[in-house]
Amino acid sequence: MSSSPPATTASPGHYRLAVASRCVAAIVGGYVVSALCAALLALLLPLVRVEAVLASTMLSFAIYTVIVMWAFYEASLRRVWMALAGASAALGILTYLLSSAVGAST
Amino acid sequence: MIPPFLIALCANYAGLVCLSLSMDRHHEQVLGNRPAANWAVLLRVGGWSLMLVAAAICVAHWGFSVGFFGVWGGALSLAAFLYVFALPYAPRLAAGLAVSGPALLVLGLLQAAIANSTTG
Amino acid sequence: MKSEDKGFQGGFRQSMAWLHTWTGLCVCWLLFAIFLTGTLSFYRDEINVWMKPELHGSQADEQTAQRALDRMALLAPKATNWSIGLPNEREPAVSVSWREPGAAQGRAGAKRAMLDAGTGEVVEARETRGGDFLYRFHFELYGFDRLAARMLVGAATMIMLVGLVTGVVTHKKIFKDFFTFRPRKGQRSWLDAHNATAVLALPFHLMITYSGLLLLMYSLMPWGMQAAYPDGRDGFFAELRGGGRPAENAQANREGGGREGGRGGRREAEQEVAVALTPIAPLLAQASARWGGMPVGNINVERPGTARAVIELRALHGDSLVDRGAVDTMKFDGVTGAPLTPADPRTVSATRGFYNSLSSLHMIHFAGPVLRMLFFVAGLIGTAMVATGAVLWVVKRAPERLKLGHTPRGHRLVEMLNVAAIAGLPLAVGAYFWANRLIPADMVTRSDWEIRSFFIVWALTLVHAVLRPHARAWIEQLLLAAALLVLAPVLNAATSDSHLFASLLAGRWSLVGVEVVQIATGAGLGYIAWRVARFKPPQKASRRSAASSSKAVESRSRLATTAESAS
Repeated sequence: MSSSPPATTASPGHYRLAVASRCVAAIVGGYVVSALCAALLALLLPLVRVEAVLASTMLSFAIYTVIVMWAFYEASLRRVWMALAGASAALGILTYLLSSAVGAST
Repeated sequence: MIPPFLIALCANYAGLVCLSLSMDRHHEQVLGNRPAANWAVLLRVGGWSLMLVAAAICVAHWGFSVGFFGVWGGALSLAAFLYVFALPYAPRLAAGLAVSGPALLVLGLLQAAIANSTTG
Repeated sequence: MKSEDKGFQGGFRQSMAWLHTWTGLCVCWLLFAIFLTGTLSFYRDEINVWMKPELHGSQADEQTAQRALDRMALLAPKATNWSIGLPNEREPAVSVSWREPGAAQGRAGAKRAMLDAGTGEVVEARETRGGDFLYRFHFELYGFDRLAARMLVGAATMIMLVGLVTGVVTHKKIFKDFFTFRPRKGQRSWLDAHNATAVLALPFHLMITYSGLLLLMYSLMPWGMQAAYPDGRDGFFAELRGGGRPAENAQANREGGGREGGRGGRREAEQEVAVALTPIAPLLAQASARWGGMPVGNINVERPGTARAVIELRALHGDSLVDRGAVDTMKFDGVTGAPLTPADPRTVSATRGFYNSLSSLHMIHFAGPVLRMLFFVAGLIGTAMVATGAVLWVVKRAPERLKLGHTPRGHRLVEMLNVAAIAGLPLAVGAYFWANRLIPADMVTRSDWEIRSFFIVWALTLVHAVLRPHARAWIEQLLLAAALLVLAPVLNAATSDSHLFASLLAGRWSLVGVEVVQIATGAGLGYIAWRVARFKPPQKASRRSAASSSKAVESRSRLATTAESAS
């Protein structure tokens, strides 16, 4: 459980900023992605609608956990942000398309 | 009348003691030497069997969901907690208490047999 | 650079350890409070009873149910329905509620009273929130906006889940160290204690954390239902409730609606003659026999005193997890006592069974005394896990402080918050119990003052932790908390008609249980205080003895080798 930063050449101020940025990415970005996963899976899971919502919502917390862990493992902060932004965009578009298709069919 | 929970708790405790004694560190801690290889295997098998019997008792008495996840799991945690925090202070006593497991199992069986013979 | 292609803090394990340490530190005090008050909530009914000494003399017997029904006929002859909670091993008195004709829907329209089980008389118990306050606090805190507080608790719970998973992947030898606890070894002991309390009850910790999230999930993660239902939340819940137990629910709704409408109009004009209810004892015996000995917990009477009265008996608790603690029920004709056709058996899908299992495990409405005790112990182990984690953070940094020769401001802050949370909260709970007996029973808004006493004392523990040296703060608060808890049964004996030995002789196990746990917890806290006070940092033996250790640092590192107290 090392508390000190690993030996890098970066200044302490820069290190702190990077940690803060990573926290925001993990907490906010992770939430957005898992929320979108919940929404998309609620539409996609081959279950009765109520059940699909229950299952996807329950699953989303596991997804959130994995995302947070990954966000604090991935070495490159830029890649963390890129991946989360990319995933959000892709999931968001898919959810939007699917929900409008579902809305049109009902 | 022995409460089934007590039997399950003691059987779980005995099972955990057997498992711990199959490990070099704890065998040495309690008995002063390392276990022979086949003895360790025997302890491991015995430990798991005792815990399985405890699980069977819980499921028979409380039904599957409550008995297995609730009572058996809880009794296992409680037994492990008592054992782990007693072991460094009184290793022989902590391990010796495992005798209660098989003893209560036998008593419970006798009791069930007597109950059967009087009713049947 | 080589570290570039590894991870954020070196390897995977190091990164996860970093995440575990710092997320844990951020929420450990809140989590400790949630865990402790939540654990106490397993015995919420018992605490309620303890905090209403007026009910302690209530003694149930064979005639209690009949007595309660007779009393209801006097108390609420015109009511449209009666609900009677029979005494059980957790609650000695009868709790009744009823609805007058035209009363508002929901909880607001119900009138309530407590009856003495032995005499049927109405008991005027003191106004108190009792254990319900601790229960509410553990997921809604107090004085905040309800939704915001639930979000905050939900966020802490989410971090707890991350903490559990990262803790497991960080643990180097989870199986090899499974049975290992090494006392009197400073930091090593604290780490062992933290690991043991986490690993030995890990299934419970995972279950209680994840199910806690699930209970809050409609607030925390509403996006699934927003996406799948055009009208979002409302549509989802309509389908969820409608689909759960269709027959029974629809019937109940129809009955309710019919009752409200019928009362005001035609039926009122018919001038129904008062018809006595059938004796209850044979019905109770029938129901209990059918449920394999499970006692009746509740009696509901629809349209009491009329020819169309229906008596519904509900079992004390369920026997399966998957239907969310749903209990068996039986209905009888209120006048003839003839059984009515039973409702369709419940069926539960896999997804819903999973959700129900977890949420009913969290709330354990169904649990008998054994399971309740096990969950209480597991909850205490979880509370100890959070506490040892918080202390470990401080202990681990003792060498750093020794090297610096002073305590950095951040370390001092953690120290103070640790004291105020870990020693301060039990102290505040003890004060809450004392306030319950010391505030006059007939004072107006006394229940608010009980809660205020709790928070005032808790705030004072923080002030005390700031003003006193670290080790002294621990010792003093732990001792005071120990004294309050050990003496709580004495206070009960002095201020009410009941005491521990009387409860023991009368077999009032809920009261005996509360007081025994108070004494045991107090004794445990006293023991920890004694260990902290007795501890001398092993300076001579330490290789760092040459380092200039100020007195403050010495007293702080005292805590280092008192890990055994966690047991």
